[in-house]
Amino acid sequence: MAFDNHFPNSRPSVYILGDTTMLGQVPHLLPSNEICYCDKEGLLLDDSNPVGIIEEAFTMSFDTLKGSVNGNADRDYLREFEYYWGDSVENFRVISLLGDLPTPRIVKLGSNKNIKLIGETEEVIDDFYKKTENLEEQLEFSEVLFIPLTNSYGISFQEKWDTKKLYNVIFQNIRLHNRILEYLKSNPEIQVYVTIPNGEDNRVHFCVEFEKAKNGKHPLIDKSNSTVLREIIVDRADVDYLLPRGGASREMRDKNVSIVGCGAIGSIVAMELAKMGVMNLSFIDHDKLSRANIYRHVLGNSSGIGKYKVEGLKEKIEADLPLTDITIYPKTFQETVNESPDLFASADLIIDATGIPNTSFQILDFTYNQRLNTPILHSWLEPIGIGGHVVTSNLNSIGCYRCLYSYSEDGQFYNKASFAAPGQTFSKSMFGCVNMFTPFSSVDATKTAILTVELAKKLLTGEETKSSLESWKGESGEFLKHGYKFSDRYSNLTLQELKDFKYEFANKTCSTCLIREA
Amino acid sequence: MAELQKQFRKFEENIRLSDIDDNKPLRDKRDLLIKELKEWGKKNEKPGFDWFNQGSYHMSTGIKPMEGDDYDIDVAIVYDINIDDYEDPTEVKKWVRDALKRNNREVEILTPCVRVQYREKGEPKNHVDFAVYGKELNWNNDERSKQISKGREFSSFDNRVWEESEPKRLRELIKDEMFQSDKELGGQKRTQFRRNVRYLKRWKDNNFSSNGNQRPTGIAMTAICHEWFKPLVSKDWEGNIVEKDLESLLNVVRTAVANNCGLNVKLPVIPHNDLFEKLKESDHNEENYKKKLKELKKTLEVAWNEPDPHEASKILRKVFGEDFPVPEKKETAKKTAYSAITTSSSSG
Ligand SMILES: [Zn+2]
Repeated sequence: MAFDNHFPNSRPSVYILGDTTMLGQVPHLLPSNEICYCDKEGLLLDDSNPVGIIEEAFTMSFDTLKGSVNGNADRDYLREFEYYWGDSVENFRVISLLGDLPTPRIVKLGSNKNIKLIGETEEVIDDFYKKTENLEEQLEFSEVLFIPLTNSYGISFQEKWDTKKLYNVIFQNIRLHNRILEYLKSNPEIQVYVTIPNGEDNRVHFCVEFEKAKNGKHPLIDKSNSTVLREIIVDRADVDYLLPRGGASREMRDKNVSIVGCGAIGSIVAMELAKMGVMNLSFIDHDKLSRANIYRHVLGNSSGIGKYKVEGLKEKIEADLPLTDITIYPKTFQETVNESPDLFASADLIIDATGIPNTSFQILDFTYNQRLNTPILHSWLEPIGIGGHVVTSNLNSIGCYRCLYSYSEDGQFYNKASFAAPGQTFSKSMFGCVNMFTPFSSVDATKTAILTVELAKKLLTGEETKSSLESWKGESGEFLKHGYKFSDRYSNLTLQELKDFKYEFANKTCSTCLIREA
Repeated sequence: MAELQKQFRKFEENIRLSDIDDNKPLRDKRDLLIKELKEWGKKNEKPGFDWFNQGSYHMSTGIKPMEGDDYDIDVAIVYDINIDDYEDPTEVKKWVRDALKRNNREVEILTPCVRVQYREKGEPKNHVDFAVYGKELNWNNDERSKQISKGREFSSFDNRVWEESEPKRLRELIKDEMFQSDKELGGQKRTQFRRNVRYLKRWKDNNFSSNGNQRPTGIAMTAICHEWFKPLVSKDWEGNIVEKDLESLLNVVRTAVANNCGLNVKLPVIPHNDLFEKLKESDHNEENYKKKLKELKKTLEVAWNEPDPHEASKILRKVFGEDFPVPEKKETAKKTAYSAITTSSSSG
């Protein structure tokens, strides 16, 4: 048993000393003779009981070995494939853009002396290469045979794999024997890329290079001599692997979301949607990043003051998440739709994060005039940390952004969802009229963005189909200290009540909803 | 269905008796009388007493009297005496009477109290009622209960009794206990209850003469509300508190009508006495009361069904009188000036 200097706040490693051949090769016994009796991550150790940790480490190791000898070895090997696969000295690697494709096919390998990339087509490889590597050097392309196995019989690591073992694994677990045999016969130099189902809704990927073919025969089907493989580790960079796990992300990837307003809220929403796996985004905003913005905007200072926000955002997201496809419109909303009237034609969702009521009206009216039923998610932020809101338009139930507007009893035109009582002004002009200081902080924008992204996800997956109004409610102290007044909605409703009323905001006399209904 | 909540609230404002502004002359009289009672007690070596207001005045359910009606303040005088030492309870009442009696002041011992009556041009104007209490002591000589002195000076011996009575309990029941545990809108429910009591009190003042015993008492109206009131207060999505006084009052009246018009309702605290005792002595009064209560129910229903607030309010005036406000007709109502340019508090 070996301890690192974090013990008892890290688990000890357990090895078998001496000869393990009597065990044969079993899963969970690594080439170094370490027993992987439990994961290193996700543990909670009672640091006040080091003796107990040691005792249990022994028991668990023993049980692991016992289970390995008697148990379902194939499954365990598959689960720990990465421990066994690959040459620990040379460490050959390839970056793969291939997902869990269903049928055998020829795919491409692009390589130069810095990088090896496998993808379905040369274009896909080139595109990825350009987005991620700032290298001028060209890629050279060759072909690779892609073989997805349908089963996973015979996966074990009693000994290092040779061509014979690989042949058995492949041809035991596929249906289209002949096609693959034919292909190998006519392409004796080709590399092989294999995926194996691991029974957990994803696949193990690995790649193999062979020694040079003798007699013009591909080594894999050359029964006369069995040779050692060059085991190549696959670094997966495909959507199946990289995108967040779980049911929703697969639905997200084909979605198309337009974001109008890429300020404090919109920029975070854009970032999070991309991380959620939405691969088609378009940004509309005519604003340039100013020095006054940097404490409230995800771009901060690094993208460059004076740059269009949409431009900086596109660069940042595509650099971080190269699978994302982003279209930008550095114009006002009205200018954008004048020039591109079919702006929203393929959008599954429009996010209005402008925070400017009249732009929101324009967006709503534009979709109406275009007879678009694309849902709009409007989100905006209140001053001094008191809260933020999201509301949806264009859904199948009555209720839209315009429903929220009404005249108060003293004749003020105001937003009924607002947490600030109507008729108060929050832009303090600090430097005259041109530069307004608005008391909206980054953390408040983030909270509102979270609300927005969560609802966006529900709208995109169809989990939410009705118009709703949701709000987060912040602290009151600072706001009151400045002598401002809350609305009844803030003062009288609890968080639970705000939730309970989320579908009840529709105004039966709303002009937009009435026309839509008719 | 007309939206009448504003009218109901204005009505209540019109009839509510405010401790501060209204009734000042009568409160001054009360204070003077208590001072005299104290001085007299000292001079005549009588036991000391505590006093406090009781009745509607103290339960925040008081209403302004009708023009020409005799109205009152109820005061509890609690003598520091052991009732076992006073076999005749009226003896203590007589102290009060004797202390306050003057040539030009009308003081009379009634069954439940000692009344000081003031008149204007010979007509009763207002009065102060002193309910007189002694104490029942336990074995440890601590107060176990308050006992009210009942009976007139010359009542038969059997009708002169000490009767257990907790004058503060009813007030606590209504002021502090109702909906106390309701975290949600408890206060609003309680004030809706009080408004209901006031509506019913004004209804009885407006519909029954104060002569004889035909008019039910305020405490009877309070007890009916206590028995059957169900709050109708809620919130809407904008955080507005939505009160439905008409519906909640209609609910009380309907339930009362369905339960012998509330004639069996007792005081909800000790001594649980029959609150319609006097009224029921006359069949005519009883029938008249039932008829009027059913009329009230009918009127509230008609008003509830009337879509125009102007018309509905005119209907309600018939039972509640002129203090119930009638809004202008819709067409004549003046429009609010709307501002098209306002500030926005939002940001993106
Ligand atoms: Zn609407």
